[in-house]
Amino acid sequence: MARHGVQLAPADRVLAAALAAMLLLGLAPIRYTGWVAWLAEPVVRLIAPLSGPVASVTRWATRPGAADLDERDITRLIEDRDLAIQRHLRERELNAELRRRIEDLNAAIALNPDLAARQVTAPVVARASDPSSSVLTVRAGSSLGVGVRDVVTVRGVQLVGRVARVTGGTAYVTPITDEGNADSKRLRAMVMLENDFGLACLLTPTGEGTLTGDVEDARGPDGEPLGEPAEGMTVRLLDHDYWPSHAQMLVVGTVERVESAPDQPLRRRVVVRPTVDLTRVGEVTVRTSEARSSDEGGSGAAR
Amino acid sequence: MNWFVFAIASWIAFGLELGARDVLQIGPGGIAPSFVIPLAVFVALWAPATHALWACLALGVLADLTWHLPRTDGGIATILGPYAIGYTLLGALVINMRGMMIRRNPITMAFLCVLGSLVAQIAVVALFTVRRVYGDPIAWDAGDELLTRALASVYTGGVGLIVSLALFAGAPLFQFQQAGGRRPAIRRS
Repeated sequence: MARHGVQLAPADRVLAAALAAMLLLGLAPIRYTGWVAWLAEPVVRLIAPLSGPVASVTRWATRPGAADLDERDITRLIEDRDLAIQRHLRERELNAELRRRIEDLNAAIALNPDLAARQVTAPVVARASDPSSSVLTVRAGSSLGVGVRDVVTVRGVQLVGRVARVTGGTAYVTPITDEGNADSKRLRAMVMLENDFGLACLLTPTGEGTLTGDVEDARGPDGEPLGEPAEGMTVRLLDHDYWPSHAQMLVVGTVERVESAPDQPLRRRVVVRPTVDLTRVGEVTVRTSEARSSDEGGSGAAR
Repeated sequence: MNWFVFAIASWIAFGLELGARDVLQIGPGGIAPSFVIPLAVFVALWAPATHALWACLALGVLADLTWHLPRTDGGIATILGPYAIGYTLLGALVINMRGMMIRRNPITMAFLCVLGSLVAQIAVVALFTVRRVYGDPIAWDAGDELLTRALASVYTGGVGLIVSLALFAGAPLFQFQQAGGRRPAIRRS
């Protein structure tokens, strides 16, 4: 009896093998496919010379109406002002922290002076090609001293996120609003009240460009509430456990909405939106810790 | 098929895809059009079947390598495979349908872009959903992803309509030959 079977032509056999390999790689756990990242780097480098100018041109073409005033000067002044406010608040926070330590008479703990941070300004050359990810590709890599977990800001003090992966010439930044961002799963922040006090809150990304979290009910020494969160209030980072000293008091965003927590109706929940759309930034500033740079010789570890 | 011209066209498509995505995006959910899918559909519509499938596979591999997914345990994952499979399925779909289509019609391109994109995205979502089942550290919600990607597919159809005008004008450069409805050769023994 004649045997009937399907036999592919040699070219199609190679194609079938390639597809089988892709299927295997597509299903293999992430821990076994880390090497794929090395293939991505040349591709991004190849595309960046075109995607960078395209991004610049499209952003320029869709920018809000230009005013008669010198926009660059105004922007610089606003950035300087925001930076000064952030430094002031950071110093105040540091002072409070130092005072607490001194009060505790913990002489064994060396006072941690403010860590200096070097700033690298770099253009965003691309975004991820898939809607599920808002990772930004920034043209600044370990050759410029950028390292994994460096803090990234935009417009001076608006926190963007952290460097998640770095190669020689490129850094990949996960915005704090990305649901997949491990750093912003629980972001400790402070809703700044008008009386210079703050209400602590624990924020998580919503996946819609915002973060949300319950606000702590804080009371002053007299037992009176320090204040209530309200729309438009600035929310600043205050998370000494997971973020470096120079990142404290960076702006997370402004309160867009205040609502009651579903599980605890008396507790207030805030929805915080960054002051700029973090997925549409054209240029960012990477704050590299000088201490880390000198320890590691400025070479960011790629992973 | 002229592979050099295809490479240049791919470079331009990816440059537009990555560079213009944030401006063309609608809403915070990431609904944005693809410039690569119209190119894949165009090649699958005109090139010999095997060439078309290889071209789609190559575009898919590049799409995988330009997609960086945040890991829930820190860092970023680059996963090779989902788009490679998805775009190859897109190619196979177009190859099978092209005999019934008026090829040199922008509306055909738009229609096939929507359909092909849907097929590719379903494949991507399926592969990632399987990954979630065995606990890969990625943030993934299949329902949300399907909705976003379905809307993005419709958007891609609109872009395909416009891009097709440029692709049709540049079609002679691709030097497509034997643009029949040939399927990958199968020999019975």
